[in-house]
Amino acid sequence: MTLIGLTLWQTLGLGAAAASVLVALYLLKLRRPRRTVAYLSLWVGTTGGALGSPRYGRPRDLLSLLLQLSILGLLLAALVDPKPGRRAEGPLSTVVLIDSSIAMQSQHGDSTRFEAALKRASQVVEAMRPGDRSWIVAAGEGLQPAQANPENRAALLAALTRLSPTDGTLRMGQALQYAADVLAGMPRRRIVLLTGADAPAPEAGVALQGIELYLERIGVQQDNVSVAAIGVRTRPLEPSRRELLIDVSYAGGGRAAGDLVVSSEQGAVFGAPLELSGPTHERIVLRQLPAIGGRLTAQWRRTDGQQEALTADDSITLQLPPQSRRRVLVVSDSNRYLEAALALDSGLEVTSVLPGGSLPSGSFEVALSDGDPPDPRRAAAGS
Amino acid sequence: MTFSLLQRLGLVAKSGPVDATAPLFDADFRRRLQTLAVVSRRVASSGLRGERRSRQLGAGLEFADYRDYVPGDDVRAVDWNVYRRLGRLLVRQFEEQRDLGIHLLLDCSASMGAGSGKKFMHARRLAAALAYVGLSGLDRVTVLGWDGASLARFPMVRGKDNYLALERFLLGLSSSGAGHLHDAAGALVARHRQPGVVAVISDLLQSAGIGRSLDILRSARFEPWVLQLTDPEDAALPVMGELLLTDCETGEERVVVVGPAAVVEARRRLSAISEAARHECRRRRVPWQKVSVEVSVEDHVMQMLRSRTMLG
Repeated sequence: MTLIGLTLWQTLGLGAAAASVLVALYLLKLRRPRRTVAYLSLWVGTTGGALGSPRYGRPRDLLSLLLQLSILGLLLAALVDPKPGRRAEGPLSTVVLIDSSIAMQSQHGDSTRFEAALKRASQVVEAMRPGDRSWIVAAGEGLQPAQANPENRAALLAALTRLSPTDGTLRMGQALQYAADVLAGMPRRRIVLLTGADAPAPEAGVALQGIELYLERIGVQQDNVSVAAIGVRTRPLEPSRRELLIDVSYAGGGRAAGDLVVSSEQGAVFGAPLELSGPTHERIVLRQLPAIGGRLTAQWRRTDGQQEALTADDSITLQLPPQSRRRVLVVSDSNRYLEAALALDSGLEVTSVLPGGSLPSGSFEVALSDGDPPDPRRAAAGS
Repeated sequence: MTFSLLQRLGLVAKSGPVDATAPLFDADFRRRLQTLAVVSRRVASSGLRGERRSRQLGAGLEFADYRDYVPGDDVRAVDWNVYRRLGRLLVRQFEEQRDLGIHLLLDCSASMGAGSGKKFMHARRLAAALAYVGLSGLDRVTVLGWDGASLARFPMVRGKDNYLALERFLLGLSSSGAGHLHDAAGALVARHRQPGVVAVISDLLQSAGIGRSLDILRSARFEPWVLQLTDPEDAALPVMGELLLTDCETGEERVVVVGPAAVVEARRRLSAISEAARHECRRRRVPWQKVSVEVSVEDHVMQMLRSRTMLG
């Protein structure tokens, strides 16, 4: 049992004083003035109330005193704030993870969820006792630790004001792992994760190692589809083939229907209807991204007539590097199969010459010879 | 200062004790009482002659009628002048004058002496006044004081020379116990067979109504009067707040929160008791008189004289 509020001696002193006052008032109340009246029925039940016969008045008064003492006991218990099953082992170590993802920009009452999370974090800081340590971390796509002395309440509160929301999504596993690393070796460790109502549950794979996790969700679950991530990948064996990956999350509990459109500066790249049954997290893969560069935007548009709770996360943008085609020289005597295979790769600019023919101008990154080896002197002169 | 303010507002009452040994009346008031007489609708007689006219004809001074002589009549009653003129033997008849039995039923319960005791003293003075009027008119007067446990009785007497003894009897009475009026009425009816006027002098602060008592008296051909004493002190308390109140008659105790509203309500209830008694009396055509201790007995007697329902 741990007394979080007043100490035991403070409680006993306060309780004794308050109980003395109550008992004194009780004894004073028992000494009621006595008066003899000509006719008692004139007074019983008059406005102001008859309190009953003294035969029953004494037990009732005693019951009243016991009730008052009980209320006093409950008040003292509230002041003491005992925590069962926990021993006072020293100061508390807390990492407050504040979800700064784009979902936290949605409205929560008069403020955003992020502002509400900051307010809740400040309450955690305010509740610090001497010796307690707290770390504040804004967790979104990346982690943004608040730079402040973990034991300095004022500095922590000031650092809270410097935190801002981001456009990314919460990487909860990464954030929890970071918090666990910060708390390594600390006494009485706990993580307070302040996130939105739509955020998924923490991954089971995070090794918290005895750290208490307090998950506080802010706001209510909303009917919102977010385009959470976009990326392009290539494979080692097919370096010229690019795949487009788009992560879409649906936080609501019903169904959401709409179109997912990918467009570049040159025009539309991809478009497909999408139907989601929430809550879900889906990945859409475009196997062959055309050889384009520049800004690539994925946009979600609802078509089921429902209102998106947060429109800021309905689009996401990717900046592609300028796409350059590799020049390939094929020296072949009309090997159409080879030429056709190379032509399928849009990242290649294939130039064919007949064996013994003159080389085209310019340099080539790759030269393929089908049959006769190229003349080293001419090859050197051509590259 | 607070107490005096409450007194001015009429929310509390304070008065000193009453001197119970002083004479009930001075000689001057007694002289004025001699000129009065108890008014009774129904003359009931013990058979003794008095100063009260009766419907019965017999010996008396007031001429009433003639009737034919029959053998056995007193020849002194024959009007010889009529016989000389008309030749008929007629006998003169006179209204016979009878006395009246006046029973003063005095409430001696504890409520009559509650507070400063003004109510009980007032009741005894009123009883003495009525007794003096009765004794002066050669009526028979008796006093019965009941306190629930016993019935103190002053014997039936006639003549003013018995007044001092009666006054001493009244001064010797004390208020205690819880008396029920119908018990006293029953005891009176059992002791006195000769009907007469019964003046009930009481504050009527009792759980049972007065109707049953009046019915007992009326069924025995008594003519009841009700003189109800009221004292504003009954509905006032010197202090306010949470009080332990004790009923002076029953000893019952209750814890009551007394505030200005409670005092107002108590006054209303006191008035309601008087109103209920008046209603019961009116239903039975019984004279009812409210006697406030704030008005002197002399004034009350004059009021009764003016109303001509009890004194004339």
